[in-house]
Amino acid sequence: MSPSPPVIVVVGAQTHLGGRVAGCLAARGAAVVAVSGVEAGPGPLVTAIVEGAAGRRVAAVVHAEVDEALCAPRPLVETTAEDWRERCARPVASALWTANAAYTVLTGEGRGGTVGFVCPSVGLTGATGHVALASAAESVRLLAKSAARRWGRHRITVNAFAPPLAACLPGPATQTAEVNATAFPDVDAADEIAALVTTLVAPDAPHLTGATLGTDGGELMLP
Amino acid sequence: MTGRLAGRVVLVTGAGSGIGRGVALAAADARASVALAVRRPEAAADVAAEIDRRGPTPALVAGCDLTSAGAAAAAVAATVERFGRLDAVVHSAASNSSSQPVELETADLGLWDEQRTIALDAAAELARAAHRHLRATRGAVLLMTSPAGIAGSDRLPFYAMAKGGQRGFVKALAHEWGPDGIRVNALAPLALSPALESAFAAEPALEPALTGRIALGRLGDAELDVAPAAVFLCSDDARYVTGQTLVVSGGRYTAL
Repeated sequence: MSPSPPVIVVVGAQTHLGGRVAGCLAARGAAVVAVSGVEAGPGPLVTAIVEGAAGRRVAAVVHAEVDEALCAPRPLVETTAEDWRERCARPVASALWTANAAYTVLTGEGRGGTVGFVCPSVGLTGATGHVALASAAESVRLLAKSAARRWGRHRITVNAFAPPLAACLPGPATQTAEVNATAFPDVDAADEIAALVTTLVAPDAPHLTGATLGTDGGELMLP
Repeated sequence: MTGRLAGRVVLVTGAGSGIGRGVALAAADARASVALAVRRPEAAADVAAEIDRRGPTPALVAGCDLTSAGAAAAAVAATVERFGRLDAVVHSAASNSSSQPVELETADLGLWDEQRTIALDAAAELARAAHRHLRATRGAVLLMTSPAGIAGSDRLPFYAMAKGGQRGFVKALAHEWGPDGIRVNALAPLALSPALESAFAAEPALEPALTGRIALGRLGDAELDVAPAAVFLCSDDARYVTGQTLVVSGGRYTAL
């Protein structure tokens, strides 16, 4: 009998992209624990992960909470202080709670693992109407880099996944004329993230950490 | 730099010390009228006196606690009231806790909130308040970020997050305000500052380790090495530069 696959936790499965990442991971044979909503801090999140894992080893935690409502453009001059907190502060707090919970769970089991943060690529490029989202995405991306520098000693890799904004929203992407070719224009960003996570949890995974992994089919090709 | 900002008005937050102080002085040298937005006005007295001596007009010192809602907007309003226009906003203020090492795994997330409040929330309020004035002058916004906001930091993860967030802010706002003729950039300096001096005091081995990795072999000076780049980004010489992070680190960071 083959051993049961390690658990991959997806935080933010209530969002479009988070739910799709969870689904794609399951389709790839992963044992997925989907956690919906991060509103109460890291403690309840640890409890939800442990209960969801039900005694199985957790090997990966993916923060994929990209609220569709926050992806709707809003000019900065029309963004109130309250809007700003909702669009910039709350997503980063969610990522920080996930980071703390992931660290607790992965170090508690003592076998390392991998952590991924979904950071829409609008943070890398900027875009009209998305100042708050871009700020949040880049804060989370730097959380990933900073955590990567700290957690290597625990054999934990931490990376950022950068899907196009369109992948965070339901429905087909709006096609716009390209001025430079995207290598694979039809890739499914959610499945790209799932493919990368399954690679990073493999026993012989590379020590890839602190990286920003484009899941856009080669659109940006950063840096 | 003489005359590069002649007739212009520049508002600088965090102008009482460090990079902000250097930028304020350099802007005055470039013939700008300068408003100093500082939490404690008495701490900016020497900067104001120096600007009075070197600049075209006496400095405005605006008490501005950026943790208070409305403070940034009040500083913008006071600047326009005094000088009649606004050409550039340089946001150099940082949280008092920004240089304190943080244990990411156990830190009170209130420490992150403190840093975000100054770095991002206040930047948003400043920009909102300044928008119509900058549109009128086809002006510039400049955020002082950090190489930590590019590379991450094991010791200062919240600082790195705040500074990284500022880079996202700049890129997005550059797109948004480009049609208004407003340029938005970031500058990532490496210079001796009160925060860095504190870090060196806490960990003496850090200074030689850091200096040894700087291509030019020395730490920058806020006024002489960093501020001229800020003046450039606020001036017409940078008229086609927006959405960028200019790293001014003596060659310490070359991976961008």
